[in-house]
Amino acid sequence: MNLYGMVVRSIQRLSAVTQLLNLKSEFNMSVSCYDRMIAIIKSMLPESERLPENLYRSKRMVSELGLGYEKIDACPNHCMLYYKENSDKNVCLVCKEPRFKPKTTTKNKDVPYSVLRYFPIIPRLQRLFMSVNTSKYMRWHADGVRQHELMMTHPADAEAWKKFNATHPKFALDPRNVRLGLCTDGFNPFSNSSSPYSCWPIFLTPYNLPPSMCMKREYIFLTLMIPGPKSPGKSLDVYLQPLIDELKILWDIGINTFDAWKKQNFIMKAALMWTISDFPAYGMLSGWSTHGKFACPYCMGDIKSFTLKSGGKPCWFDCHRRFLPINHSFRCDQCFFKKSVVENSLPPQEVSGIDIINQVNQPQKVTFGLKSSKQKQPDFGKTHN
Amino acid sequence: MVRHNLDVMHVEKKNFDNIFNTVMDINAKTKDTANARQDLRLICKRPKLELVLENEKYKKPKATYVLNSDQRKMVCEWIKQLKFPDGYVSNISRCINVDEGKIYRMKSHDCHVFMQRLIPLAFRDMFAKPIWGVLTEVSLFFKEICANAVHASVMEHAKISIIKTICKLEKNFPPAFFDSMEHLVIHLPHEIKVGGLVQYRWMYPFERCMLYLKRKVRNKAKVEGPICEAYVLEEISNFASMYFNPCIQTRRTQVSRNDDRKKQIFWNWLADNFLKGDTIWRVGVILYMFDINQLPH
Repeated sequence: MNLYGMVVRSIQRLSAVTQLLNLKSEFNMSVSCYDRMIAIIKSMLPESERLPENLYRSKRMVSELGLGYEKIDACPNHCMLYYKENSDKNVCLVCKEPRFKPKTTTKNKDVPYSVLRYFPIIPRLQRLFMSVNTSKYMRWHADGVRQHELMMTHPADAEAWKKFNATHPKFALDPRNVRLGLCTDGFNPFSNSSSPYSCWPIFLTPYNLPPSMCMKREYIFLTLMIPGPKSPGKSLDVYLQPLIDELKILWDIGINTFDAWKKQNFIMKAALMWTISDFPAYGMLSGWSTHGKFACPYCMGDIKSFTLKSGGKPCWFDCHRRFLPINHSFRCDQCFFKKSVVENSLPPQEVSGIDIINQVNQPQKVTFGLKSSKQKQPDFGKTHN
Repeated sequence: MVRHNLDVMHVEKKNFDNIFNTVMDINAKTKDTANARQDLRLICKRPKLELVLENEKYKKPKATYVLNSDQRKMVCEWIKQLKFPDGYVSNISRCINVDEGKIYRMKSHDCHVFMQRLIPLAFRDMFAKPIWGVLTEVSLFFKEICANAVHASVMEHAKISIIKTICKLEKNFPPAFFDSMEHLVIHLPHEIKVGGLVQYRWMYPFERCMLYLKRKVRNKAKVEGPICEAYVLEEISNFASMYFNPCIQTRRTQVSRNDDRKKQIFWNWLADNFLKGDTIWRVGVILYMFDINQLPH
């Protein structure tokens, strides 16, 4: 029996290819599997078909739709990026490690030791506005209908967001301005700990979207792929340079963007709300070391934690009575907490925004990299770690 | 303002691990070691828990917060036979070794469910009231902060109650039990009040994202390059899939495994026929007669 009925439908070539590629990407099909599948499909099609014959051709066809990424060479010891004014250097300025691998006879190309892959965020945000399906939701945080009126159901209902709007009324005026969250964590791509390798992707996610779309996989953008095999540690800042440059443009100047929902151009601005990370990465991002007895970034220097004598580990025993109201009975308890200690102190002061700006504005000179000697800041072990 | 978020997922997991391993007295993971008891002698006044010299060997007296082997077995057997709704949690009973009274390979989401739902049930009647009470309080606290709609005043309340809860934990558990994760808990309500719901500030979605990136690695000699190439392709196909014919199934249009549409039709019919006027009580009767799980599919 014939595979076809009488009439053959007309199908766009691009539509066919994108559907096939969608399948490939969803199930992580291997290249040879894809090519074989295409061969089967081609043998079934009428003779005048024009389907690209393999993955390479298919990818070439849709490459215009992709947004691509940049490669920036980096020092393998995480000291510096060969970026902007350093882009033509051949030796690391800090550890004197060469940038390229020694040339072999077969390959006459410069091969760098380590490459940072950077996915520019501006075109990705612009694309959100390019499609009607997403651009109408990019204003949800301001005028979306909440299920519960008085409850918090979205970060936009919370204090920080409202305060931000109050301090930057110009930014808040246009609900299409994007608010971003940044997340980072290391993972081992080999799934077994016997071969230690740590990859550090950095994700950005827009918070403008409604709860059903926010934090979903399609709206979490990979922006940086920090090369392994060792975690960058406190040198993470080195790799954030290109991202920070772009975020600065988005905050100061803004980018002219087409909104497909309203059918008009507007200046899109963006702000980074906060970062999300596990506790060790918290230390890398914030610069407050989260090890030892000064680990808590809220209490900072004002702590009651101590190191155990036999256990040898930092301990937070009896650090919580100070948070109680001043007349609480636990505060006078000399039996169950620390031996014969009455707690009279008040909880640690919350650090205000102005203090933080003052701290950040007095940067100390730091050399990055795995090989740089351990630099101890003044007051190490007394007020911080 | 919150500049950096404490990750509730990791804090909860570490807290659960601490509590569970100590309570079940799992070797090499419990916080209640001989060293801990020695520190306890220096810091606190709890003579019943101090190490005792017996036949020239130090012995660790049994603590009230540790289960004995029979109780451990009972807990393990109880977990072994637990069954959950589909898609609610992974099959926790697989992680249990009843003979050794051990639990292993729990994923953080399993810990999340165990912490919030099972702790009060699992340890009921096993402990004296103060210890069971404080464990339940911790469990309820995490349930409260992980709600998907939160009122700011509830967080104000939680902020005070968690301090008392941690103090009660301190009264019962040894000093070595309290590491940094136990301390961070008390700052969580403040962050929720300021920053908003935990669901938008925790690592679960990102960890999932990293799993997908990990799956894309086929050439183990080169890791980053293939991930990036595959990611670009995925972006293209995601974007293009918005314009596909709706009959083509993609990740975006996938129907969940337990599709409730048929059930919904039945509920609507029920509501139309019985939920009018003052006949609400009839619905109650019907619900009582039907077991919800036996609704027509």
